[in-house]
Amino acid sequence: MNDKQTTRVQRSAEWLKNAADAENQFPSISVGGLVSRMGMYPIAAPITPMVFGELVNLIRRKSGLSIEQLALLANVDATDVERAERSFPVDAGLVQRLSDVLKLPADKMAQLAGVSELTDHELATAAKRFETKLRTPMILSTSEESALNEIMATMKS
Amino acid sequence: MAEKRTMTLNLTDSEMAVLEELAESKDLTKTAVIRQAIRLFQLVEHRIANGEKLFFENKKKKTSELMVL
Amino acid sequence: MSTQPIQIIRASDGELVEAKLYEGLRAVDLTLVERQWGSWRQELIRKLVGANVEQSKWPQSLHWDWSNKVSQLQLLAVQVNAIDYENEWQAAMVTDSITHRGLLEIQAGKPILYVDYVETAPWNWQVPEIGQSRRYRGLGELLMTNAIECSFDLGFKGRLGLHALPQAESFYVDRIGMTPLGKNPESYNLNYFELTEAQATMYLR
Repeated sequence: MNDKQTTRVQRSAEWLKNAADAENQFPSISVGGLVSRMGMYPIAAPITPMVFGELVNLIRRKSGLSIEQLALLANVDATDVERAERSFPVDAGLVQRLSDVLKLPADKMAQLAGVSELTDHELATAAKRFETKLRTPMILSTSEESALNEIMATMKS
Repeated sequence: MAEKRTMTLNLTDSEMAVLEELAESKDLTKTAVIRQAIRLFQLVEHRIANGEKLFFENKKKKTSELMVL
Repeated sequence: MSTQPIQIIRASDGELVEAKLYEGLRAVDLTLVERQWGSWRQELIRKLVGANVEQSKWPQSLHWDWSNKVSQLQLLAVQVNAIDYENEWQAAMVTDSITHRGLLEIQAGKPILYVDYVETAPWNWQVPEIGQSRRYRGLGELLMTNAIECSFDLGFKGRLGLHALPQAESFYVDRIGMTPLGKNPESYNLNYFELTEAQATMYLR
């Protein structure tokens, strides 16, 4: 009961050159099943891409934690936290760990991060409102004012 | 491609009938069915050894059955 | 594991160079592959941010992070194949011969080789926004040729299935000749594509 043994196709130089030219017309060849299953490919682009990062940033500061402290508690790299706060794409594992430490519902945070599909309409509306508020120019906070004065003084001196 | 070894497989009539039926319905050779069975068996054993359980679920009947392997 | 000589194209002068195709690497080797690629990815992110490139234009596989994620892959059903040139991994592919069956009517329920992962090294990506072009070419075509051959080896007659990233969908349809089946419940929001025996034979011709 031997299977017919398939030998490897010998592609000619000409075939390869043509194929490579053809392949060059396409931006990517990435296949992502495995990556999706591992939570490394966002299920949907977040409709409010800034919200997750801003939320982590604000709640971290409200909890009196530095980036390094949050990273330590969540057992992740500080650069991961920093990147998340700057709205770089995140994976499901990071969302879970940060949510646990910051005592936020991980499923909703995953929706905001685009790791799972945003199905909660109320959350979507709230997220949009949050994002609009963050973008609206507002009066400087006391600490922003003092930090600004400090750097301006240095620049002028 | 990995090198292959040959073996003789002794099956009962009914086992052979099932093998032939699977080969027919899955569009595989009999060898390919056996090789597929080995991979499947290993996958199941590996996951069970890792503490997972195997369920069959029927969404229409809303039933799930635990397989004891 | 087996290796065989394979030719790839050096983009700078269009010359063919002798590379090696590894079949049946271990899962741990994929981690090594990804470790080689990781720092280049970080560098690309810095360049894209520096050039103010919109995130929607970034390569979609840019933020994959593989550390500690491949322990599930130590099975006969899962095979890692990769192309090496001068001790650098140029492209890699993971296939799974168990967990997926055909969905297209002509091959419904029949075993297919599910291509779980395909990626080229980040220096082989085309990122025009920051002026990066591919260093080696033809890698996707060679891996797909190899995937079809592996499917034949398994007795699957060239049948394949895969979930392509949006930026790669046209490659699998227009170039490889796969049939799009849309998104299925397990598709993680990626579109699913299948190759039939006839399409495989056509592609190998």
